[in-house]
Amino acid sequence: MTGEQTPSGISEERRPLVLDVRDSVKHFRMRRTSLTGKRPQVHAVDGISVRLRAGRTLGLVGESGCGKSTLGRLITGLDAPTSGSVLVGADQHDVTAGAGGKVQAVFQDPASALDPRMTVRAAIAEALGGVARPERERRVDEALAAVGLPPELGARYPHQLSGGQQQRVCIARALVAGPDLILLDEAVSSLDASLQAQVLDLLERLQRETGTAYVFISHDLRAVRRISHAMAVMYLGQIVEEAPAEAFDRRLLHPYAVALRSTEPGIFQGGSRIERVVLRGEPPSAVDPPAGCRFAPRCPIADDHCRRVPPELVDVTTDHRVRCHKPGGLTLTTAATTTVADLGGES
Amino acid sequence: MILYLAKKLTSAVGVLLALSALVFFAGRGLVPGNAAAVIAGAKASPETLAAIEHKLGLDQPLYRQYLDWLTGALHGDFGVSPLSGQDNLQVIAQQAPVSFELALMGLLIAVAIGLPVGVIAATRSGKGLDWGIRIPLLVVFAFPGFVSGSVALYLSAHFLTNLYSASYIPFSDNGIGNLQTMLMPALAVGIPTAPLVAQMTRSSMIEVLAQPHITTARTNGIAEWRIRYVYALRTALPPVLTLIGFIFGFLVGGLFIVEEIFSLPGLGRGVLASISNRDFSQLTGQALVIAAAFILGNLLVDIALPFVDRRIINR
Amino acid sequence: MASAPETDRAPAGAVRAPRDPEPLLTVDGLTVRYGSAERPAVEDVSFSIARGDRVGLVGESGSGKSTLAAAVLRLLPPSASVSGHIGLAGRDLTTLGPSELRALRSTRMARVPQDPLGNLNPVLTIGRQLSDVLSAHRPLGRRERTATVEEALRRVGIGDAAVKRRSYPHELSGGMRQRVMIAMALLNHPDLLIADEPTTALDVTVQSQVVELLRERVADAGMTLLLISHDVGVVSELCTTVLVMYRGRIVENGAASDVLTRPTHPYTRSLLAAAHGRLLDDVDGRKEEVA
Repeated sequence: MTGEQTPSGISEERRPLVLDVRDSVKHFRMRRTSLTGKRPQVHAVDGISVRLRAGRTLGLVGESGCGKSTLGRLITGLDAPTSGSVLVGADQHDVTAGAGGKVQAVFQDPASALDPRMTVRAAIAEALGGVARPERERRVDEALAAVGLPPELGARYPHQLSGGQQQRVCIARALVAGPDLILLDEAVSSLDASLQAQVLDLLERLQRETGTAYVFISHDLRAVRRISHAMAVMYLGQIVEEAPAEAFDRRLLHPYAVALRSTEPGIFQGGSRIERVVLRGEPPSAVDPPAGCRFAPRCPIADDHCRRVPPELVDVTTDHRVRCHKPGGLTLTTAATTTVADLGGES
Repeated sequence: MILYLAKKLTSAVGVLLALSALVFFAGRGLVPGNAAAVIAGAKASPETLAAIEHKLGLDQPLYRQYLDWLTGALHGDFGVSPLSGQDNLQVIAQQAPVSFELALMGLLIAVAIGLPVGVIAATRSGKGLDWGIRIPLLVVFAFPGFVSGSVALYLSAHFLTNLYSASYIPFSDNGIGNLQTMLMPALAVGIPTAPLVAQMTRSSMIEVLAQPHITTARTNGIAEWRIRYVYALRTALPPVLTLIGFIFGFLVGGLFIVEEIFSLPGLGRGVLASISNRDFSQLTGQALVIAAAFILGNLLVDIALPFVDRRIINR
Repeated sequence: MASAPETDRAPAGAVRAPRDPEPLLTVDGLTVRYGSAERPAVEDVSFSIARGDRVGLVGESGSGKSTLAAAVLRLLPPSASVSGHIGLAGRDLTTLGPSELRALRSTRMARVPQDPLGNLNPVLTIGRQLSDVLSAHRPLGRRERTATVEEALRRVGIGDAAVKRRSYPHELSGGMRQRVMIAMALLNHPDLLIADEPTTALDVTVQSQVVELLRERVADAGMTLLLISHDVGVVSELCTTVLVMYRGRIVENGAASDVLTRPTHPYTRSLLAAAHGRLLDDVDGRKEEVA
């Protein structure tokens, strides 16, 4: 593993910036749907700016179609933004000019991310293209050890491994070249809860050891919150709230973020549980987003002003931003734990 | 839906144009010898040859010849055969209906046999009956056309004499007589084609029967026959239909063995005659009709598909 | 069949005694083994569900919970060998013939699956599919069928039912499709509703809607619910009783409020901890290797 040892307790400013997304926009043209008229445009990512420092994790949450995966593709350089820029690495070069192994990615389905005809060792070594053989072998050994896989597994093929082991191989492959940044796109979503916890622990430990920064994309708030230092909630191509992870427990301000947070199961926690905020409708498509606030059609507290005027992303504190005309207008409420009795239908 | 149809029509016309160019240039440009040399005979002087070439327009640049021919063809003028003096259109207009009818009847027979056999084989997949069906199918499919044709001819000439007719009877003259004459040739075409349809139906059905919505239909107590012949078969139909569209075009152009055996004046025999006569003016017309049959088969299937599976419009 | 107790022949939708002394579903010594697998997927499982109960069956993938549900629904592949007894309102489900089984499906037990898109036929309108489920069990006229289908759609929150019933599954959103699946499952008023991970494939805000809908519909109809889920949160919101499965066995069975607050089995404890995002030591070494 290369990468600097970053001792904890280092002041934020001294951590080098490894990701700077500046006002990035990505629009897709869709296929024609009628003989006349324009081809519809998808506003997948619509003016997003985020920054991330070494050794830190940014959690990106949102539902299907919010643009989080498109943002992931911009960060890894798989797609070029329509406008704006994405700078990566300690030297802050444009990602579209070739990331040079400085940005790696781990995806949701490890089985399809691994070549079924390649052994584990070969798959990991592939990421070390130009490295001489003895050096390469040594680093593959290190990577296997780092993700907690016994060396004898290196000779196996992906189908001989369990899902959790496959995902460890993917992580080893992402780590082995010593990247500055790893994109984790729903990286634990296909794993069982106890396995998720193991893999998240592993990721946290590796981050402490190598100082690699993570961008963790998921629809599952719980998993993201556990390892993230900062969180951003996306809705229809925009960030609607960005906050330090600690603020995500009680100090959420955007109604959509509050609704997402309310879906976390608070299983009889401390005698009280959080009431589910049930939103109307479903995540809309990013074709022709609404004129005012994009969340207004589903928002329980929206008024005419919200439907007309699009809100800006404004600073609440230095590291907490929100895009809402009525921040804090919807809050989490707790209900008593008597869910069983108040269900009715027993009488 | 309108957009979908417009797309399919445009592409059909485009493909037809491209094919017409291909057919024309392949006929005129690549094959050695031309009609002028055939007409003039081997001992003709260069002057006579040039005069004949001029008369036929063969001295023009190739693209001009193509444009002239295309404009003519669009007006229904396929030219006059410089060899026989016959109007090409008239010749083709006599041959094409024979082949189209034979291909269509053969196809209907192939579908009537292949579809149910495929469904039955799929529902018994891997069991004895599945193999009991598939092995004979493979044997039939491996039959060359002249074997099935000869068998059919032998049967009709010896045992089904009322179906046998030594010469072709046009449909317009005697509809029933025509269908009787065509039945044995159509069987000779359809039976060896049926395994193709059966095989595609079987594999498509096996895939669909494993899909979760079939389990759901079962969980809801829907009758098994309805699950097979409505829920599964309809879902499995699109690839089968696509194949059928291809087979139609394939048959129209590939009937010469059966036509020869049953002495039917179809396109297949016509093409052979044109080739042996080096009559490229007629051959291009015939090739164009065969190409059009391919395109027509595919177009009809494209139009039918959205009625079977609505998702196809958005693809 | 002939010896079945009289209560069994009551038509669907008939008024039931509020407290049926006999449980609706009894599973006794059930063991399911796939092919020549070393370990059975479900091993010697016994439990019973009283009418009106809402039971959550939790466990991670490979715990055998989906196999158990498939056994009750008689959806196991032919390669599975089953021993033991499954009784639904006194009838032994394991020995029913095809036509008896068919008559029982949808009217006595129905299923809400995980993935609504895959579980709806892609080439038939949802109205047609719903109406087929109706007419498979009840001889109804065309107009009556349409009215029943539209009413069923409205009950699951699909307002413009007259339009939506003409839609194909791919034209609906994910949440809408799951509403259709719920409508389909409730169409013939089954006694037992088996929901197999009904929210897992949906967006989080849509999950909330579907949980609310299930809660409401089940309470309304006084239906018996068997909810299979890996999501302890959803189970805690919908269920009165919780069964915890681990390696093919039921390791804990009790009132939801007890099991989820004072779990006795170490596996339940680690499952709950994982649901809260914490990691406890595994019950017996690596859980990961469970097939």
